[in-house]
Amino acid sequence: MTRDETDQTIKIAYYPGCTLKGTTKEFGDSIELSFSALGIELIEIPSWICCGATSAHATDKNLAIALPYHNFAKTQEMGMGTIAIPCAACFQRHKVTNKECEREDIRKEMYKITGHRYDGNIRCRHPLEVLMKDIKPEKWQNLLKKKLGLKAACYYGCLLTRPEDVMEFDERPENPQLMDDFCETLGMKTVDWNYKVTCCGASYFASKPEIVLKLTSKILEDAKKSGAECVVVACPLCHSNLDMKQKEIGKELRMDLDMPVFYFSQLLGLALGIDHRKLGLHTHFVDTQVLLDRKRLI
Amino acid sequence: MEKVLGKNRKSEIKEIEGFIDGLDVSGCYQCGKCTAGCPVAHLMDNPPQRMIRLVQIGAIDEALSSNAYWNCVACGTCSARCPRKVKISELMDGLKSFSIKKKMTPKDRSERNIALFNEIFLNNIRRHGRLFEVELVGMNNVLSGHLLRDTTKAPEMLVHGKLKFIPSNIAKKDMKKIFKNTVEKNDKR
Ligand code: SF4
Ligand code: SF4
Repeated sequence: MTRDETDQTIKIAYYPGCTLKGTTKEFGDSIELSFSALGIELIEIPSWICCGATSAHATDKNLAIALPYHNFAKTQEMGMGTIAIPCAACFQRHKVTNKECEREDIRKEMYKITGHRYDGNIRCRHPLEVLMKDIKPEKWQNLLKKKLGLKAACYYGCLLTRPEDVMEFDERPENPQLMDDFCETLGMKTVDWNYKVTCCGASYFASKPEIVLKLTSKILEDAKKSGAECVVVACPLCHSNLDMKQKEIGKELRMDLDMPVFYFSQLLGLALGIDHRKLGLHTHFVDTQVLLDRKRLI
Repeated sequence: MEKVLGKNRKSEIKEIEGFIDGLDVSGCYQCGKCTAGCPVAHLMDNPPQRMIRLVQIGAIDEALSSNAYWNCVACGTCSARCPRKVKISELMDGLKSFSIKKKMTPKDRSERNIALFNEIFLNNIRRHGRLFEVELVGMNNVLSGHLLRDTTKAPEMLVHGKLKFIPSNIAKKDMKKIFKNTVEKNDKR
């Protein structure tokens, strides 16, 4: 992270990842808009490539490291010291790679494979970490325009916290609080519930949907029972599963779930007074407008 | 460790362990915590605890012919909770890439779909640099025989400008090089 002395903006390299530019555009848009409202400039890595996701690391270990390595090398070329990665899946692949790149032999091997140099010195941060650990709420809280009186279940899923020694996301990997603290900063209440870090089966979204349906229904049922009005996520795969499949799940559970699923960044945008349409809140499968209307947030 | 291994299997265990840095199955004392926390244990013929045991005793063929590692969703819960720090999730991944390299196809159709999806996904990013989502869903459905899966959601996504019909096609040379020096290199061996 570099702070420009003259204009006080903070500059961070930015890796949006494939889905934030496509099917989960609302995640990318809301990150970019709210960070710019906070005076944090996200500079997109010019020729970033796909991190390879689960498919790469299930297939070939070197491939799984080489793809994120390319992005670190490109960031190094930009002369930047920190990358922010909002998608939990991309974030995890990059963190794992960065850990591997602490070893010189692996960096040498990767140089041979990719032809690019990376010295292993770039910090890889999730935007929640940037806001809560690096800049700290005291520095940006005063920019918030609305208090969001929502009651939420914060869903971390598997990728933000595991493996814990690599991710170092939260000291309490089985019951993380970082996203809860973030939501409370925005004026929300969060519930204690059981499925915070339970897998939703994301990687099998397309290939084995019956697994996904089963795992996701348990998560939504528990969130509902714990008294939450909505679920907050940091992962486009979790979002697709919880939002897009919710109607189907509700039918199977014979339950009126009606749980809007928000990206943490959409909530930040709302609290900053950004127009809800720009944050893509009208593009979800589960309606968000009724709840936000009732709370007088739009 | 050596005592419990069948003689002829040692080299294969080495090979599998070679895929996974720091994997040492000998530490497992069969407490079952990994299986208890696994979200898909009920779908596995050999849940995580038993997979570790199979590798421990050198029953590699049984381990490789199991559907466990295909069903594993790589959530990492098992490794995170193991009191002996056995890298179970990493073993599952290792078995997957091992069997891909040996061109072993899973028996069950739904498991073949997982293998197929990975192949289609990687082929997609190799050619486009970034994932071309429309093509991914289309190809996967055609090849796995589920023509309409997830396409029912397409109209809404289209309205919101979420479906892009033009691929990124970025860093083509870099991608070509990376694939040539990793996956394709293994193919030639
Ligand atoms: S949790 Fe660890 S020690 Fe217990 S059975 Fe599983 S691998 Fe073995
Ligand atoms: S990583 Fe795989 S084996 Fe381990 S708990 Fe998750 S699904 Fe089960």
